[in-house]
Amino acid sequence: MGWKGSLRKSITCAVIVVIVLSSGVAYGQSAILRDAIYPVGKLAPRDSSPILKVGDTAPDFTLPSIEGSKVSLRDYRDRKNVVISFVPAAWTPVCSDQWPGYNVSKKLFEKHNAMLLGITVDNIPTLYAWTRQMSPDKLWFPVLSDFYPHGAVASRYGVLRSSGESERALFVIDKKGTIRYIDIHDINKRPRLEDLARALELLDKQ
Amino acid sequence: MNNDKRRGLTLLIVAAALFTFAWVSPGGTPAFAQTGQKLYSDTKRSLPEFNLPIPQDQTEKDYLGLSGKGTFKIGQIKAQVVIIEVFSFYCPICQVQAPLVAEVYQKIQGRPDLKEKIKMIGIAATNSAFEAKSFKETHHVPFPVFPDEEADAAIALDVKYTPTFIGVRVDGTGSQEQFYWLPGAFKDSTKFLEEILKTSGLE
Repeated sequence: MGWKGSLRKSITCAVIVVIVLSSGVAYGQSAILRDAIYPVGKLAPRDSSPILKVGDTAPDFTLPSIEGSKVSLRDYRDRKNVVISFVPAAWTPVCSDQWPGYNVSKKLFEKHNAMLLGITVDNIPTLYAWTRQMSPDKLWFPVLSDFYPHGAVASRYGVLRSSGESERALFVIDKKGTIRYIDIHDINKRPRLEDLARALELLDKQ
Repeated sequence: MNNDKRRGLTLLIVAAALFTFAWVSPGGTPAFAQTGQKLYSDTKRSLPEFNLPIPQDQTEKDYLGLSGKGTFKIGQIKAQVVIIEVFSFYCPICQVQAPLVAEVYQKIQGRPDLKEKIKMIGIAATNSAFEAKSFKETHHVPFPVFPDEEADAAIALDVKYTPTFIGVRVDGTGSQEQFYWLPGAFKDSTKFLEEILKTSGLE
């Protein structure tokens, strides 16, 4: 290949590199974690095969929380509805916004007698540091680590991606332990709060 | 130099040049401004145009001096200065900042010489109407708030991070000149208002 061919190929590669590096730029993101957020770029919207459906019994699990205790899904049986929010990873875009929104929406969850459980595949120290950046006070809901065995709960819920992160997914589970709503969302986008609010309202009608 | 080395070097140089170009916005502003750094605060520029829906609520219409239905531009607000807060329901700093922003509003409303001259609005970047309303209700935001779900306004304003505060001089006829830009939070509502008054020329 001659010099011109080499240059042309190099420019093409460079343009691709720049597009990939620039694709993480978004508008209106929270500034609080701005300098700490890893720019993941645009990812495949979903990278797993659903194995659960509405009406199934939610798989039970026990995971360590950043507060030092262990939390099991069965702890809430017959007492509270449960919303499980899987987010892909700490220190990444979208995830770093999603939970702060839920943190100020406590009343919405309380209104429907629901507990929120936040789960990622990160380890406890990472989750502790990340969530402490989200609020001057600790988050009101348990933050659980699905780190080891890696992504075991995400896998049982059918939301573990081939990269080892989980999908951005919401499961609404009623007091009987039955799944009433599933949103395995485009990983690049934040689920709208009103969609979850509607799912919670449906619980009241059952 | 063999072909492989030459190709690698060329790739590196071209990528670096293009990435540097992409990192800097057309206006010469770093695409990722630092929190607290005031960009444009001493620079006059015409505020990029974007439309917002005229509020349905009559109190909000009266506050902004608007009537009818449809959309409006910032320059049509009946005031001399408009303070825009671009925020997000999902932004922790915006949540903490909300009481201070409300203080600014109360201070303006408490001064008869300013309340007709300075108006405030919020633009809820990437938020749905439900999310914007939730933020307004949760944090008792006293001024009109507009959802910007597709980030049209945030993109037009080149606001990449929330909160960002923008000061705009207006005359009610369409002129809209940006005079102040604060990416990030402020800590003192009195000092913030003083800066707005000083840089706008109102005082």
